[in-house]
Amino acid sequence: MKPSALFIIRGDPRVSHRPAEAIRIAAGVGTWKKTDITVYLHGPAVLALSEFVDELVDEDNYTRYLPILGEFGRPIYVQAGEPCLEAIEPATLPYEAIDEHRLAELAAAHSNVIYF
Amino acid sequence: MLHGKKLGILISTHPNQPGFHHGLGVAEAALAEGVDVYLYCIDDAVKGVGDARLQALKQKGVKLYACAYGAQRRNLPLSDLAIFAGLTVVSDLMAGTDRFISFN
Repeated sequence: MKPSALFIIRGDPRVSHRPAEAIRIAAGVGTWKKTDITVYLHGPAVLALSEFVDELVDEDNYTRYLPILGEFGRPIYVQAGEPCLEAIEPATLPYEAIDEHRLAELAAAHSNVIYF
Repeated sequence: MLHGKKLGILISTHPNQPGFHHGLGVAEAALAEGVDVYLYCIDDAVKGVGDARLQALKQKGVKLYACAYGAQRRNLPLSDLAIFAGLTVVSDLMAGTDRFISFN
């Protein structure tokens, strides 16, 4: 059975490079199609889906690698109720807002959970 | 029981962070149990490839990889301290080890 990895990406992309790096890694690993990749954005990390990424650290990672994540055939999951969600419309990729219960189900369904 | 099993470890934290050393601790314990350990340093962890404890683990048999892109971005020279590689290796570790864990 093909392994699967859930990337839980936290941090504020306006001040930290780590969300951008996590997006790069998720896309770069998923491209090889040996592992099914799912991405969940928590807190301000949802800003990665904003059309305007020029104020984010390492903005190139978002323009270059987010479209690859969109090709994996599943939505990007985001934290339901996160205030920053209002700032990302229109989002660059389809997303689904989920609560913690659903996140727990997702984590249980993946062979790897990777926190960034 | 664990002998011959394969463990993949991804570390992304700076070497002065606890996560880096927790990762090395797991690698050390696994190695002592006869596990084949594959350790990949990415992001800020590339600054730690020369760490004495990590190099000692490499001498004992840990297969040590580091992110070439991360090193390049931080102006770190590519050296024989680790095998500098791309994300294809991370993909292979996720798919090809019995257990894959990360310290971020």
